[in-house]
Amino acid sequence: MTSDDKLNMRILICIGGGPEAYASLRYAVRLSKTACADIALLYVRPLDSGLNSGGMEVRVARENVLDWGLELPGLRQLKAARDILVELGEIEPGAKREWKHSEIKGDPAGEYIRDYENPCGGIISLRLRTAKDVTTAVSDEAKRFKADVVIVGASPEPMTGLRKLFSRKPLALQIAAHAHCSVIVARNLEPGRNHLVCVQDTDQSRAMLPMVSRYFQSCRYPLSILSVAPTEADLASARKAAQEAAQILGELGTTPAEILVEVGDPVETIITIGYDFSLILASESLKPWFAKGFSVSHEVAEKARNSVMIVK
Amino acid sequence: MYSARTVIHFLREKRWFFLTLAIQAAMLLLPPPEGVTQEGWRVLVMTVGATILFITEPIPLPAVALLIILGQVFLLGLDSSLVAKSLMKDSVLFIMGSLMLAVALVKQKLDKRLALLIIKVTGSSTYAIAFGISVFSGLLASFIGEHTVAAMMLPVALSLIQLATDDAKQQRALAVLFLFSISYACAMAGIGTPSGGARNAIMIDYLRDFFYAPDDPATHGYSVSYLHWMIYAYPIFLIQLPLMHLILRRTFKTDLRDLGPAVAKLREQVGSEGALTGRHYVAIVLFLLTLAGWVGFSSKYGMGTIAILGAVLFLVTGLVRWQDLNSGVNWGVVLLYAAAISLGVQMRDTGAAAWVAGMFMDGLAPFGLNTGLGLLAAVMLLTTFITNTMSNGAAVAVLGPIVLTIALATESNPLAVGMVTAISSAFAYFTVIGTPASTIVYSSGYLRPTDFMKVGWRMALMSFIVLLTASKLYWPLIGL
Repeated sequence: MTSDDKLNMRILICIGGGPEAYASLRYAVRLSKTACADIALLYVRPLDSGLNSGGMEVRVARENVLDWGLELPGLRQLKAARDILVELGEIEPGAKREWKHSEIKGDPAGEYIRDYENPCGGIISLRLRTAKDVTTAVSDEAKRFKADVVIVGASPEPMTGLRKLFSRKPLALQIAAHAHCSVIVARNLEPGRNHLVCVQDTDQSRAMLPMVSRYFQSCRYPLSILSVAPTEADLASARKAAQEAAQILGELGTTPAEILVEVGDPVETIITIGYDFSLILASESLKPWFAKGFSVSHEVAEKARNSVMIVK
Repeated sequence: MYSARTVIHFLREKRWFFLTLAIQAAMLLLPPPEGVTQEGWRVLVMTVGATILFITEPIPLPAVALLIILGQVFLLGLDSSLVAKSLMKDSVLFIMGSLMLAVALVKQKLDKRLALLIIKVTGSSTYAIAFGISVFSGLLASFIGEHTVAAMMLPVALSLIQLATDDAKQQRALAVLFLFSISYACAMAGIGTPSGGARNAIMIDYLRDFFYAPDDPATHGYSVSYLHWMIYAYPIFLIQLPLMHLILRRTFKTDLRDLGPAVAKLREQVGSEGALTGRHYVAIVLFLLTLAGWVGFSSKYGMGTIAILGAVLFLVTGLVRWQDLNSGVNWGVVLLYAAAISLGVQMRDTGAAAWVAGMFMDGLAPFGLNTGLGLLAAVMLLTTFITNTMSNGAAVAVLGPIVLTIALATESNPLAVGMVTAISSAFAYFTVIGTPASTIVYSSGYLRPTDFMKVGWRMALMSFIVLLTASKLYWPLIGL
């Protein structure tokens, strides 16, 4: 494996959940500039139900729409994302590519891919998929694309109170719990500020550091290390975790800009300190998918007002 | 080897299926409630399971149909040939034939000529176009089925929206106005004639099955003809149509009052298609012949036979290929309707429908809603609730036996109760899945589920008032 191979990132961005995903494009482009990342923009449309359409396949209507030269839903959103990438210089303004049809879920009027090459030779692909369940579709596509990172937009205002009780878990958090690779829960994800890596004295935390190093060599943002001790008694362990992380990262070629050790509630402390950073990074929990919501990293991803990356 | 993750994923995806099985198992372990036979209880267990699976769709819907068939053989102990026989009725033939006709008509590309006709009549005013779209959609959908019209009108509306402006906000404002003009007009028109939708054919079959006896002239009114259905229901649709437009106008205001440039571009685009060709004329004639067959001969030969004949004529003349019909019709849904109707018949035969009807009436009695207009209002509310959670055809298939038994028990007019059920199954204004037309326009990607809620309650209130008024003032006048 060459050093270039190590740097090359594959980023999957979910389009369609709201404006946050479009904002994260600039961030992905920054990664692309330094690491020549492959970027896939994914729009997932729900599968049509034959019963709901009274027995006539919705596909008949979709084919009629295509016959008029109109675009399928999803293509509009993907094209808007493509236009942003054109503005950012990742796609040549006049570049024309045909949509390639694919039939992953068997919908002949639903699934398309369009590929572009960016200036450094990476591939930017627009992908339209159909699926019954968006979370599963994104997880599947992340595997198929061999993504290193999935970026999915989340509401800037976390749900609280009764609304939270009666609402489904936000899509971004569901994807964060199910995807095989690292997931960025994006809120105003703009390049510009430093990144904060949260560590603990656990094997899981140490295991994420090679991925973190690889990521930072791609984006080249200054990083800070934060370790939070729940009580004064845990302070020694927290210091050890921070120092150890700095050493491991240093050996991997990433030198942290600062090391912070705090005492307090881990979730609240990380959210408070992390607010000044572009991105908070925390390691994935070892809990099963249905219990991940009770882990520090997923709680931070749920409650933070800025972006959080759950590193796997 | 399946990994634990795959198994967990499978269980998560199928959770409603397993929950349904658990509920059914728990119900089967309980002794039947007083007044229900063992067979009736088993039918109710199957109905509860089927309804949950209709709504949540954890397994493919044709599989639900097959489970109903298996349940009738294994749980109820019925002879498999009898079960097979109970699946195929005229209403099922009608559903099959009308779906084939729907695909055949959409494939004729008549929509571009239709677009030209609409803008020629309405001019370029936004609201006039919206009203024109709903009038054309409604008139067509009342005869040829709402999914056909929604599929034909969808590109007309989308073209106008995209040609009118590039501003996403203004596009959405136009989209909600135009797309709801299509879907609500189609939904309320679908009840105008028996050929407007599967639910009407299902109710006609139930009315015949429950009340019609060839040797008793007093029951002949329950064999509802095409023309009689129109006399009962068409005026209700015609009254609702302009009211619907006013509600949409008030709910979804747009700054784009004139679509002159968009209309000109559309005229240029679709005008290049030229005039109607011989093929188009043949298609129109074939459909008119089918329509004439429904009006004139469906009492004798059945609506299903006429629909199948129409589809065969389209195939024989080469206007549509079997491949198109085969891929455009969801045959699983046809099977599902067949199984649901068959289950409905078992609900009646085992007394399960009577027991549920009794429970329903006991609940209504304290409010004085168990007779007369109150009963009709209660049936309307119940149907509206059910039809917003599942397709309107399935809602009528599930509710039909229950409401007709209620009519029998309360000595109400079964025809009026049946018509109210069928008509209010069109009041699926609150959800995307309520009617086929709503599902089709929602597939454009311009609408949000909350849009349906925003306008739905106004539409439902208007429709309730119109239907109750019609059942109180109009139906008695015409002897229903």
